[in-house]
Amino acid sequence: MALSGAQTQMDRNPGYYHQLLQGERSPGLEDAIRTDLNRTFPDNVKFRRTAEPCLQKTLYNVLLAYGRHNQGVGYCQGMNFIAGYLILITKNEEESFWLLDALVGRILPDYYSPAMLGLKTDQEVLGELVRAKLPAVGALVERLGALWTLLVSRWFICLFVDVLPVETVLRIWDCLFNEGSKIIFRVALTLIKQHQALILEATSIPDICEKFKQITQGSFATECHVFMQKIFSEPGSLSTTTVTKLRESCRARLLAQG
Amino acid sequence: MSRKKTPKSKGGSAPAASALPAANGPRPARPGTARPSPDAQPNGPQQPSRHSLGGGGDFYDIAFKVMLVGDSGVGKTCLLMRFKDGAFLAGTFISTVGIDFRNKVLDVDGMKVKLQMWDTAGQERFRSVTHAYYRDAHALLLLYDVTNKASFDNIQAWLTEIHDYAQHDVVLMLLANKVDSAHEPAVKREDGEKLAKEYGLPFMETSAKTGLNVDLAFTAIAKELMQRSMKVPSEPGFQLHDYVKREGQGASCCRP
Repeated sequence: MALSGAQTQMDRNPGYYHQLLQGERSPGLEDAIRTDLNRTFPDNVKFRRTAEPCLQKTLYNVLLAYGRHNQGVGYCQGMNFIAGYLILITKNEEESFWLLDALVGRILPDYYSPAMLGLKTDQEVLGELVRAKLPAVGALVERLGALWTLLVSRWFICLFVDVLPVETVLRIWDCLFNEGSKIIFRVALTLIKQHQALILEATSIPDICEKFKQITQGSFATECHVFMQKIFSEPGSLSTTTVTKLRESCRARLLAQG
Repeated sequence: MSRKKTPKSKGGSAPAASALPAANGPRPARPGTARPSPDAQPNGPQQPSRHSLGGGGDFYDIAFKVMLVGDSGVGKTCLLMRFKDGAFLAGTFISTVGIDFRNKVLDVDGMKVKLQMWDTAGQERFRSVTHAYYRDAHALLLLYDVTNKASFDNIQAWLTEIHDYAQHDVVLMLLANKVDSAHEPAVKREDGEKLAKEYGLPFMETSAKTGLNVDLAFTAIAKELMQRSMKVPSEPGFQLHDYVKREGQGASCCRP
């Protein structure tokens, strides 16, 4: 809360969250969120419709308030999983809202707005980083004609929720709140580098999709302590300047493509 | 879960899709006569030499890509899982984010046909992420939810999207899903039929919950694609419309 600036925002804006909830009705937003309530962590007893207290209501409130607060984003699928984790961690509705705001509004560069330009940009940036640091994988992806969005969109959109084990996700999020969005590239590059040999066996697009699912499973991802050490050693240097420059060039390229 | 992979040693394992823009519609080569070509056909089927799908002795002769599209929550993932596993587990699905795929091999007139089924996120903003894959699809199943009027109203927008990004001769079918619902449907069957007729699409009512017409929809698609791949242009081929009309339970078919 403190590191991300969420606490400061919450202290500065008392009552704001509740005002949002009592705000004008927004049918489109409400429907979009409601569609996903039964489809967010259905295996978690606290998120079942019949649970008491039911976290579906909490989730609905957090997402609704956020959609009204940040109207440029509204609600984007994927935010349900992130908000769901925040609710489970903080056990506090309002704190979850402010943490979601820190992530979506400040830490992540424009992943969830309707054009999803920030998301597409970062997927391209990952592609560039892979080409530079793991050229064999970069060449394979290019040869197969697989788009990075197909391989890693869940990683970025859900911030590894339901991709990596819970403990590992939470450790990654600690770094995300602390150091910013660059960490997502470190995690992605580490997963790819660690399983490079397996990925290189792929001979088709479905095949490589399957490999990219496999590499998020198994003991490497489960042992979060070692995993966290690896993400800072394996990908090598990754300066903010490099990431910023790549983001600029990839964004320009995407805009030029229309 | 066992890993599925094709043998690397065969020329036939050339990827079905490539970065190259597809020049033409799905024109799969006749199985048995095609030679594995070094130039992967941008939108061709996988080469028809027998492929292994893993240790279980599963082989296939020909492969096609089928995409499921339609609004968020219309039941694309459920329909796909019903077809793949024959099961409907209410309350176990999570929202599809981005794009995902599953395979199933089915027997069509003595041929093993592998359907590579691509499941997509329905939310509008994801369309710009998923439509890049339309051009590789041999068939599209367009779904709406009969209990959700908005999902039906959006069908036109989906058709525009398909028109803009998919192959011009992609096999397309309109499915009215969730007909199991006890409530009066928000979208009448006649409205679905009318729309299908307007666009010349085969139309079927389906239920991932009860399984109504689910296998039929995918089988019909597979038969149509098979026929197209083997057909000599002058021969009257498989008639998707007639097949759906004949076989469907309460299904109907509409020609313009």
